Amino acid sequence: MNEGLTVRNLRKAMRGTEVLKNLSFDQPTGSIYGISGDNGAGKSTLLKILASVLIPDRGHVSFSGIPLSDKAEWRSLIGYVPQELALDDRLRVRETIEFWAAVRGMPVSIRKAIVKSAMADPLISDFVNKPIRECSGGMARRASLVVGLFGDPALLLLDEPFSGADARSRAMMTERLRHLRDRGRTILIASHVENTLTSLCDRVLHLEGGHFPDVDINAPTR
Amino acid sequence: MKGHDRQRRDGLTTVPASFRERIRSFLVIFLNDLRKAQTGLLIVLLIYSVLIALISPILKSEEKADSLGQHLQFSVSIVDEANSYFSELIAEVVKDVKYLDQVYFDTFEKAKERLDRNETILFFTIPPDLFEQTRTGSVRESIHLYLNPQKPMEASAIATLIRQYYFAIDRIYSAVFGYQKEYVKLGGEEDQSWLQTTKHALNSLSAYFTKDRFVEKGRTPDQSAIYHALSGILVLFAFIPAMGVLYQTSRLHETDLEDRTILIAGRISPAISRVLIGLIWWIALVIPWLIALRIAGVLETLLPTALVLAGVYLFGACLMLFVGRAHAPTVGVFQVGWLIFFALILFGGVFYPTSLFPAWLRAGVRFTPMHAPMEAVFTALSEKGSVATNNVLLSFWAVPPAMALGFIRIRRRRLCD
Repeated sequence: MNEGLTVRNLRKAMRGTEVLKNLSFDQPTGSIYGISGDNGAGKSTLLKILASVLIPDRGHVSFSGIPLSDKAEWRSLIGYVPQELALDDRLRVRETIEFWAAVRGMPVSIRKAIVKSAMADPLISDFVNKPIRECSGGMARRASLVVGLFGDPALLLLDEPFSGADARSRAMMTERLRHLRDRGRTILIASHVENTLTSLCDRVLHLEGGHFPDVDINAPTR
Repeated sequence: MKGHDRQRRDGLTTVPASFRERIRSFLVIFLNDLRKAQTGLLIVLLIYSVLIALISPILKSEEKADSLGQHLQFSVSIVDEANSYFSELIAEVVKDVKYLDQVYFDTFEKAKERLDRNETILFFTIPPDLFEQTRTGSVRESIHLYLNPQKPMEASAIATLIRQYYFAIDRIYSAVFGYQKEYVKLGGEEDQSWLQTTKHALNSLSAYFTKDRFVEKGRTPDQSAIYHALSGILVLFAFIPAMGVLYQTSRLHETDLEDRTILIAGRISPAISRVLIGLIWWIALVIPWLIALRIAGVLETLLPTALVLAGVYLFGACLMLFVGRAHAPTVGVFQVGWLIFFALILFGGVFYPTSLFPAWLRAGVRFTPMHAPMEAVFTALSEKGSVATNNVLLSFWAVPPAMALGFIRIRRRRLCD
């Protein structure tokens, strides 16, 4: 399968414990998949592997025909929003956006256009001058999502994106994610809040014992 | 779909691809790190400015006093037709007078000529029969002083000083040689007796006048203590920024913020940025000290010392990049880093000179990374800043291994690099 995300026989052991055991699944492009599971089930480990943060012990991963092992190509495709905020809380939201746009090495003219566009983004437009440390959980999550969306990634990996977010923030974020899906972006969300995943995702995979017991890779996917 | 093709189409990049983009990315990280450090740097610079403002007048006044002393330098001539041992002895004594910088051994005519030309402040003659006069206990003054009429006050002051020295010598000499006549009377062999007693008397006199020489040379330990303390401070200040590298590295290690940064900018840029920020701290902490030492006249040239101290920082920074990425809790890593820091400076002789260590330990500590830099800095302070090139190079021996360790750790494939 060349289109979408393909994961085959993925294994990862950490500190002597096998966290992921022969995990396999496929996700078509332009879809939102959710990964649910208890704390410690391996959701974050899976996303870190897909984000190329962790190296799998075994297995094959590809997206649109590009293998995970091709680091430069892979990283140019993905956007990763980690579980923690991963933002410098001393910076204002505006500065945060400017910083993460600039770190991508874009020329100033393009960067300014992107920052201007990001400042007008409804997700953050009403608190761009607020320092991150003074933002509510929901505001900070929204800022983190905007940073993850820089470069318009084809594959978006979100680890607990709604953690600490209020109802309004959740609604704004889910609306944005649906919009991205409609534009053909592929989104994978790890969360232990199953009802949010159910309402947003095209499919929810339950991670248990290091694999997806209800996934049959031979069955056709939506 | 190829990732880079997609980037060009969108006009965006998710990661820096070209060299120019990487440089831009690095500069952004560096400037952000610098912004975080700027408050601390400003405080340090402010403290240093105050300290230098306080110390400078003291250094300048000492410098002024020294230059004043240099202007009040006079010369004297000694006329000793018999070219006796005594004239050399008194010349040695006269040279110790603070305001006398030159003692000439002249003929009477030559000495007078110098005095007329205003080259000397005074001259004095030593009679050929000085020993005889002394032996017979003459009460008249044996030496004759001729003062410079153009500088009567100064000449008079120096003359008084010389006369005081002369009288002191005369008294001692008389006392030492007083027994000679009795010895000659008892010895029978007059020439041999005179020879032996004179030799013994001169040795006694010489021993008396040079009795302080050992103590004067013994001033070295005092200066060593000061130079050792200064060297230790410089080495410590050069190493401390490396602990900042450790703090930043361990604080971010394996955090989501680090992951996010590395995914976009790679591993090398944040590490180099951290080392450069440390280098700026190094400049702020070390260079003012070197400048102060230059003003104080301890160092005439700064480059060798600065190079050695830069090597200390580079070694420390690379080592701490390695330690900071250890798989351990942040607090644990930080404690290990400080432990290594203290071990390095202790065994490098920064706290105590390694000469105070037991012999078996001394042999070992010579090969510790801080020992050679400490020795080089100490030499630089003792030698007005000059250090042999091979000693400078030797002080860098630990840098390449530390760089290799740091680089290996940066590149360690925990991530998909």
